[in-house]
Amino acid sequence: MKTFDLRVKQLLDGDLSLADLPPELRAEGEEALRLLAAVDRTPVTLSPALDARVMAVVRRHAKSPAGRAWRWLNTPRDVELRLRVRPWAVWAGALAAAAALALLLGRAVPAPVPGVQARGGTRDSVFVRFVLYAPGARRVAVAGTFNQWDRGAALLAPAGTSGVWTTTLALPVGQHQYAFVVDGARWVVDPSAPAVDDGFGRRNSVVAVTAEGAHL
Amino acid sequence: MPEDAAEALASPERSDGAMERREQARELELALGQLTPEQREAFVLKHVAGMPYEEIAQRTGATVASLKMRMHRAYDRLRELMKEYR
Repeated sequence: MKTFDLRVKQLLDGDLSLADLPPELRAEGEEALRLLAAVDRTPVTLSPALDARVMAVVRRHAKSPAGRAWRWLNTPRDVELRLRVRPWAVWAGALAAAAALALLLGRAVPAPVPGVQARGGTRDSVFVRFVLYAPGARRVAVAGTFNQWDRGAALLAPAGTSGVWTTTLALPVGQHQYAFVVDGARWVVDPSAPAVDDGFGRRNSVVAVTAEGAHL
Repeated sequence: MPEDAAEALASPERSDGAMERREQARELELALGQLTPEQREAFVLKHVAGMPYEEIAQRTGATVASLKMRMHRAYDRLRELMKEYR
């Protein structure tokens, strides 16, 4: 087997340029680059219709009475309270509050989950890209705890004819289990992610999403 | 007739080039199928997904050095296979 010169391989890795090669290796370098030029890097683009649909939902939400009520409830306001109480009532109230606090501190309080941040009562979402190499597949989806294992909820798009399928989903912060569904029937674990037993003889891939990103 | 379609009909070189690229992509796809799963994974993540070796190492658990060795073997194997297809 005729192998590429090491410097040509470094050219393919992007460590060297064609001009860095000695003249006797230029032809081999060009041959190697032609090989890589066959890689289909057609970018995966989202339909402009998706933007329109998302904005339509946002506007509908903004106009809805429930949305207005929610904003009214969330808008900070100055509130002044005037109370007329007898001094002994203040002391009794303070003692009751101290007793309640002592009771609360005596109970075990669950520790917050590391890496999970709550803001404004809702959890943050992080965009996570899923990639599967499945040449010959007609349809690939990702199903998991984030979409109730619905095998039709999140379809991956093929990247040209390379056999690579990708999609990007906004996942809430936390740990999620998932698997790819090829052609609607075959469940496939993500080869680049850790997997756990699902208790029914199958394996699920695991992704941990924090505010800083996704961790496999 | 749309302008693009008229132009494509009027320039056979361009459509031949597109056909050749599709043929090359098809040959590469066939050749990728002949690599070992580890070589194929490294090649796809590096040259299709465009990831640097460091990111591939994080995703796969392999070291950068072993990934490079895997990839260099894949280059040689692909060169051989692509020649066979022609």
